[in-house]
Amino acid sequence: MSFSGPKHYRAESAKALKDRPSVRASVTSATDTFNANRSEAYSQIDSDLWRDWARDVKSHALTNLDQYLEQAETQLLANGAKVHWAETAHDALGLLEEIVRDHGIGTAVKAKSMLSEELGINEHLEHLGVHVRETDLGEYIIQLIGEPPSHIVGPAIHRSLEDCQRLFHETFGTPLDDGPDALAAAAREALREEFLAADLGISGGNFLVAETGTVALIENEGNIRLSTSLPRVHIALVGIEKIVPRLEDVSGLVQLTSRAATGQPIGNFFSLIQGPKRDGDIDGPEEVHVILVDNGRTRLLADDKAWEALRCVRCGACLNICPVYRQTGGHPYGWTYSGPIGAIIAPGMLGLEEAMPLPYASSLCGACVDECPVRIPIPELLLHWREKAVEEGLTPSIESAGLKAYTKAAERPGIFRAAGAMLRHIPLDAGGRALPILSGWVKERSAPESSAKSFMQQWKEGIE
Amino acid sequence: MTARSSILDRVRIALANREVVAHPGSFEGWRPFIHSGNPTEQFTEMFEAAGGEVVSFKTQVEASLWVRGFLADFNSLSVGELARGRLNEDAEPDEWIEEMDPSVVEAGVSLAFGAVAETGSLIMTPQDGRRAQLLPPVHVVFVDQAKIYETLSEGLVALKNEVLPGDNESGRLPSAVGLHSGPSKSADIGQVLVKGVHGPGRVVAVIVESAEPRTSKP
Repeated sequence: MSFSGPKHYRAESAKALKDRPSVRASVTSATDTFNANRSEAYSQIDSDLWRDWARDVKSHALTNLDQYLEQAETQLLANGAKVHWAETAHDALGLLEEIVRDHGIGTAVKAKSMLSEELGINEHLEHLGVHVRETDLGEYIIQLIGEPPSHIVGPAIHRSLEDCQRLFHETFGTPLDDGPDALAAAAREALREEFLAADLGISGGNFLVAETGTVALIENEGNIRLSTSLPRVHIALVGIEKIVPRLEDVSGLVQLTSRAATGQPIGNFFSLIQGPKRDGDIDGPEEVHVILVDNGRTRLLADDKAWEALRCVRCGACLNICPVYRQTGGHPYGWTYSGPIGAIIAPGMLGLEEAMPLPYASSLCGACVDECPVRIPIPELLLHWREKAVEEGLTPSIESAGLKAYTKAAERPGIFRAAGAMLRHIPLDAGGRALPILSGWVKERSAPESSAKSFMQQWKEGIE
Repeated sequence: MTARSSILDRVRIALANREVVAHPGSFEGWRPFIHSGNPTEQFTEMFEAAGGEVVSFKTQVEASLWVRGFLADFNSLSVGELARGRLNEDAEPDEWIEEMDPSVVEAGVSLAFGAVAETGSLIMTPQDGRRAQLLPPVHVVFVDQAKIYETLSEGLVALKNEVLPGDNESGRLPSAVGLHSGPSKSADIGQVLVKGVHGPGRVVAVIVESAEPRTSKP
């Protein structure tokens, strides 16, 4: 199920808050847990040292990206994997289509992959007549409901236990009061059959190790291991920014990413995939295809400041800590990647105009930068995109007119005082609605009462 | 122009005036604050904290005896290719366990290549069979104490340098490696922790302190 684009962010977030209060409750509770676990996991390590190291490994890989991509390709080919390059989502879907046709694929199981959401893989497979099944429990739930994920790590965190009980009751006929254990057992049984029958397994990739030609995948359920082990063909969709140079680098990054994402020392399953089944192997896929995807990443890489956002390891820590994201979950952002990270990569990957108003979906409180495992300067980059938006004339004209008027007034003390006196005598709640800029502020908030005297008057008379 | 060359060209143009960041070097030496024990103790602590179970035996014979006893409670079994010799160590043929397809059994038995102390992980290779490692609801795994590595990096490098059965090249990793660091779990339904989603809900690491002497014929 795909997104409609970021441009409806304001309306969609207001609607989510008003119409579905349970979303806010579920998201807040889930992110509270993520935050507590991450804090504990960070406290067990020298997290500053680890994060400096991770920042530099990723920046090193990105500033030598062409060489490492070529090295990864060479290694993967030597391992017997097939390597494809896709400039756009359209190209990636075309490559997928070819593989599906060549191998007579009828059914596919999918491990959770944000890139596959970004590319619209499920819709395209269905269009090709392939039965495709999400196997991560959270992804499975939202596939059954027919909605996109609302969080990078926990795609269904906006859904309550009651939502799942109703859904499983309708899907499997489980009793409405079945607990999570019984519901998960029902899903296990249904999905097990699909795993055993599937022709194709599709995964993403957390890291791509250049030295060994390794697609590395972190998870807790085991569905990624199953999706990449049982079907005869495995396709891994990997963003070109996922490159890391060495096996030793991935050993550190998997631990830091796991701690940042869920507070674990490592995900309970970690797959390192080099290629297809070899002669001595008992089982495994006969073919492994790695599709290296650009789809806007080189465009982001070309930005002198925002390229640093490509270090992202998709842990979701910035979403969990963000006071804006926590109110609504990811859906109002209208794009695969939500929260602070979504707001800084969307303008680079989609184009700034397309990404508006996401750089404004933040209070610039800076909580995210304190948690980011690869130290992406998120607030700075939000400001960077806002500056560009003003330069390119993408901000509402009333706002720039207002700021120009303010600048003029502030340069002239007489006018400044007169304007201040005027504003103090307008009741903000009622009168504010009629004023430009101010109306946007008081529409959803109750305004404070204006003071009868200006600060300067009070200062002269002596503040008590 | 192919997609490959246009992507690489765009990367090179983007990086043309970008300062190259140096690699920060090794990740080694930055341990979590909480551990001071030896690798086996640390592995045990981490694996149990993640929901796994650990038992330890002096010899392979004792370990095999215990596992055969443990497995007596299950109606059907699947045994990994490499684990077979270990499980039947010192057993009379009539005690040998009948094996079935991993997709229908109640328990699977495997042999790990080794383990990692810092993450509490078992290192599983495809030579033993991936299906036996993943499909049964209970997974029992032999691991030799001598192959419990302090760090993940050490464990992976050791695996890379080892010539594995059926794979005649050292210096490369097997086709696929799985690190198993606890049972399959999820909190996707109402944020409540559930074990045994898809993969094994129960995983038992059986540490063999000394793999020698091996008493039975291969």
